[in-house]
Amino acid sequence: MGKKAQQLRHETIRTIRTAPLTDAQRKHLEGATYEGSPFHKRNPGDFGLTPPAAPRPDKTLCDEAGIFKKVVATRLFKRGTKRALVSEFMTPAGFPKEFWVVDSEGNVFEAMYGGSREGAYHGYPIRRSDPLFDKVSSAWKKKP
Amino acid sequence: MSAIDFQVCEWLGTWDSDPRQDATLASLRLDAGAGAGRVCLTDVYDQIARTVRPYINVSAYALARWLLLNWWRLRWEPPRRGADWLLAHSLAAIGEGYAWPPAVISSDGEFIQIQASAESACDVAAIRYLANAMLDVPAADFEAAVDGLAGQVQLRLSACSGEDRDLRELQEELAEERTDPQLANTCRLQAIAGFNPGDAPAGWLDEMENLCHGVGPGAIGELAAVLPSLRGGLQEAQEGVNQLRRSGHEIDLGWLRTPPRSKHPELPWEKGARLAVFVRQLLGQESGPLTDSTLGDCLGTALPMPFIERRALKGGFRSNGNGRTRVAVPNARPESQRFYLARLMGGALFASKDDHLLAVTDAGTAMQKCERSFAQELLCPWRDLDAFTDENGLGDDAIADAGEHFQVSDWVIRTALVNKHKLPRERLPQALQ
Repeated sequence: MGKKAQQLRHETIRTIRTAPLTDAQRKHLEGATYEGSPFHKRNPGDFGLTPPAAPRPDKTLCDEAGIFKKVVATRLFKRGTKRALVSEFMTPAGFPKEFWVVDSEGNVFEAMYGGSREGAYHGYPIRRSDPLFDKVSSAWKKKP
Repeated sequence: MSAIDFQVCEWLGTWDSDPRQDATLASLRLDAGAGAGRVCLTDVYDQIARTVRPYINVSAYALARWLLLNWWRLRWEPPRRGADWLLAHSLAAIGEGYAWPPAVISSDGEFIQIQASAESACDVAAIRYLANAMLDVPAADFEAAVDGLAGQVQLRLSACSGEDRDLRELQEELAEERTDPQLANTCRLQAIAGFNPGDAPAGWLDEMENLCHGVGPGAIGELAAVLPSLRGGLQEAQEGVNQLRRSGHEIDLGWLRTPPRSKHPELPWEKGARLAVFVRQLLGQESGPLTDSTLGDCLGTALPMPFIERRALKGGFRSNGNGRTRVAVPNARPESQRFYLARLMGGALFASKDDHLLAVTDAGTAMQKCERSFAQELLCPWRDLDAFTDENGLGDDAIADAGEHFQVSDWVIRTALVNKHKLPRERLPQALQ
């Protein structure tokens, strides 16, 4: 029973990986790149992104988490690839489907695999009401 | 009208990254509750548009998939603490970068509870949720609403990008589990215990089946509900049952008769209160405090009963069909004992005749809600408490006096007053708020 649901849960439900990445996996992750998504920006023009056509999806917004510049987002992204708080599920390309980073204000961001090329991610803040927020915050503090 | 409705107000579509999510971006509205209590859980203030709207623009596919993936636990699992429980029960856990409602879904087995909290400020999104709600939705309505949403999403995908194989296979698997009685029971028990179907450890199902033979088909669900709180798990549950079976203390619950069923659907707490009124009639004392003497006489024992020790598994065990029920009283305080024994009476009325174990637990199952409500109404009839507090006030001293008058604890009085909206929730002890 539940085989299909188990398979899909493994692929979709966000679970923080407990076993550390291997050196090869870490190096691979450090080659990932950040691509912004206009759906997660109130003012996507600051990131050089084309604003989406109305009506806009109700996505979380980097601006609301204090990220207004692409350079800041990129710096946060790099911190995330180095700290490597990643998901259990790995994509066929060998990248974790998600990884997470916490900024100095305690905001939690999720980087989701997917973009215009292999290794590209887009990112967004996650809400405090998201149960993963506390799990990531706690895991981030413990991660060396 | 269904007590819960996922309504696709409009398909929007987009061009983000995942074709399934893109095709099913929709203005989606979620309403729950009945009559004057109906609430739009997707009422939001949009700070960009500076307007209030009753829908959110989200991926219906992501929502449908999450509901199906967590179906058994949403349908059957009672509330618990912890992020892991919330990941399967909070809409906010759907993720995918959307600002989902801060609403939590749980179950007592008969009804689905939806709890939503209004936001005081936008939380890394341009929308702020406005609805505060604690709602009970008939389980059948919830099941139909989820099926309806999944069907709509599949139709939309078929029209746009082709039927989604994952979603179809998920729907088929769930349909098979739901329609096969044995499979459904197995999935249900795992879900009540906090497992997704198929995730229970090896041997768990066999042990549960063995336990079921001993305690009864309804009681096994009550045990499943408390298993996560038992450090020793199933073994501790079995030992607890054995201890109850061997207890040297008995009470008589054989005189209890089941009243006619209610003509209308009733929530578990409503059932408990109604049963208590009936039992008061059986006792020939429809109002006023029940003395230890009256309570003891009807149970065939003297109160207070000997206090044995605190145990993880509490309740009674009846094996002969004559209503004699072995009990181990886990409280020394007289008012706690009275409440516990009253809960056992409520449990005896709620349980089926095939159940030997009458569990008394902290779980949020329908039976436990019925027991608590029964005990409250039996020992402290609302009409009497209402009149008492009208006369004596609602101050702390008056509440303490009411507790003494009805021989129940302070928190029973406060809980009753809060439930009837006569006392604000803030007057409950912190742990109960």
